[in-house]
Amino acid sequence: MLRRRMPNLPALAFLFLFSLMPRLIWLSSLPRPYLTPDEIIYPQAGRAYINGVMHGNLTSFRLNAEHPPLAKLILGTLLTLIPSYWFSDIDVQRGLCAGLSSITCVIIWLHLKRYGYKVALAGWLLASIDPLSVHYSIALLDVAATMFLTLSMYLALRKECSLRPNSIQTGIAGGLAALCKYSALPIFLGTLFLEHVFIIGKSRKLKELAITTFFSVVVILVGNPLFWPPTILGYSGLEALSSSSSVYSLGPGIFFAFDWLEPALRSTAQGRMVFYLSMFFSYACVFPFKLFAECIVAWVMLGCLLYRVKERRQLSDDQLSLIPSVVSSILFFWLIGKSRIEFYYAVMMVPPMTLLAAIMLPLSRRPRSC
Amino acid sequence: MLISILLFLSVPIALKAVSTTLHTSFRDVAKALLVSLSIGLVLSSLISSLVYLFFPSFRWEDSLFLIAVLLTANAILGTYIYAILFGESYLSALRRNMFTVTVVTIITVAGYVLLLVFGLG
Repeated sequence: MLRRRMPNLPALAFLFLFSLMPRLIWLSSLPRPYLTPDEIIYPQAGRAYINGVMHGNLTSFRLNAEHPPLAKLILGTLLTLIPSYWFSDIDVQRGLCAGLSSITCVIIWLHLKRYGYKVALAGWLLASIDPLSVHYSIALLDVAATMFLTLSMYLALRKECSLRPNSIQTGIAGGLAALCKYSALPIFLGTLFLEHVFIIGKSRKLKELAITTFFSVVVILVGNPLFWPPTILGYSGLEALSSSSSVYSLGPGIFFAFDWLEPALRSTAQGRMVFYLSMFFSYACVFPFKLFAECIVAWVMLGCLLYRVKERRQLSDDQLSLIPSVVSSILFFWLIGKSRIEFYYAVMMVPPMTLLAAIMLPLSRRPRSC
Repeated sequence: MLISILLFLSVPIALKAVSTTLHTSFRDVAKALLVSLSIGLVLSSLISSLVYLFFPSFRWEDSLFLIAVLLTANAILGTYIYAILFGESYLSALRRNMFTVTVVTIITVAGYVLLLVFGLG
C-alpha cells in the first residue's frame, strides 16, 4: 500500500525563507512605484473587488477587466487585513509577489525530491537565485500564475506515485493559474495536449485529459465573475472583458507574431511593405526574450542538452515528461506579439526549464520508488 | 489576425497530410516539428542575448539577411539536436520538418489568397 510521506515543515520553511530573501532585498531596492501602471492599479482593483464581494456589488470587477481577478483578490484580502499605517499598498503587493515566487521555488524542491536531495537542492537553488526569476518577481499576475502552473505540473507528474490519478487536482491548479493570468491557460492546455502527443507509453488517457481540461474550465468560469450571466452580474462581463482587452494588441490587428505579414501583403507602398516584412521576419525568427542575458537556468538547461547531444545520449522518460511544459511555454511566448514589449512574461518559463535542467544534471539518479 | 488564425488551423492539417504521405504517425511528425522548433527558438534566444550583450544597439529588423541566416541555422541545428535527443535519424527528421513547413506555408498562403479573392480578407 502506498504511504504518502509528510513534508518536513521546518525544512520547507527554511527553503521558503531563503528563497524569499533575495526577492525582498531586490524588490525593496526598487523605486515606488516601479512597474507602472500595474503597481498602482492592482491594489486599487484588489480593494475594490473585496469591497464589492463584501457588499454584493460585482460592478467593481469591471475595473482592470482585461486581467482575471484571483491574484488581485488575494492582494485585496491582504490589504484589507494589514493596517495601512504599517505597510503601504506597494509594500504589501511586493511582499505578496516575493512570497508567491518563493512558494514556486519550494514546489520545485518538492517536485525534484524524488530524484534525490542533491537534485532537489540544485533545482531549488537555481530557481531561488536565478536573476530573471528574482528581477521579474515584481510582476504580480505572472508570478501568481507561475506558482499555480508549477503546482499543476507537480500534481500532474506526481500521479505516478499515487494509485488514483490527480486529474481533478491538476485541472483545478491549472484553472487557478488561468484565474491569475489568462496566458496561463494556453500554456496549461498546450502542456496537456503535448503530453498526450509526446509520451505514448505513459500518455494520459483521453478520459484523464478531458477531466483535467473540464475542471480547469469550470474553475475559470466559476472563479471569474465576468463569465457569469448578466442577470446575476447586472452587466455583460464579456463586453467589459472585450472592451478592456485592447491592451493585448500591439496596434491595429497585431496580436500574434505572424500578424505583421498581413499588412505587408496588403501594403501598396514599398517602404511600408519592407518595414512590415522586416517586423514579420524579426518577430517570427528571433525569440522575444533574451533569456541568456539574465537567466542562469537557461544556460544550465542548454548546457545539459548540448552535453547529452555530445555524448549522443537520448532523453530519459523523466526528462521527456518535462519537455511538453517547456515546449508549450516556448511556443506560446514566441507566438504572442506582446512578449516583445513585456519581458517579465519570461518568468513563466523559468520553473519548467529549472525542473528539466535539474534532472539533466549529472547529480541525477533514478527516481525513488513510491 | 486572419493570417495567424489560418496558420494555426493549417498546422494540424499539414501534420496529418505529411504523416499520411510519409507513412509515419501524426505524433512523430508533430513531435519532430514542435521540439525542433522550440530548440531552434532557444538557440535564437541565445544568439539574440549574445548580440544584445555585445552590440546593445543592434536591431534585427534592419538585418533581413542575418535573420534569414539565423532562421536556417537554427532550423537545421534544432532538428539535429532533436534527432539525437529523441533517437531519430537526423536526415529523415530534417526532411519531415522541411516538408511540414512547406505544406503549412502553401495551405496558409492559398487560404489567404482565396479569402482575399472572395473579399473576405
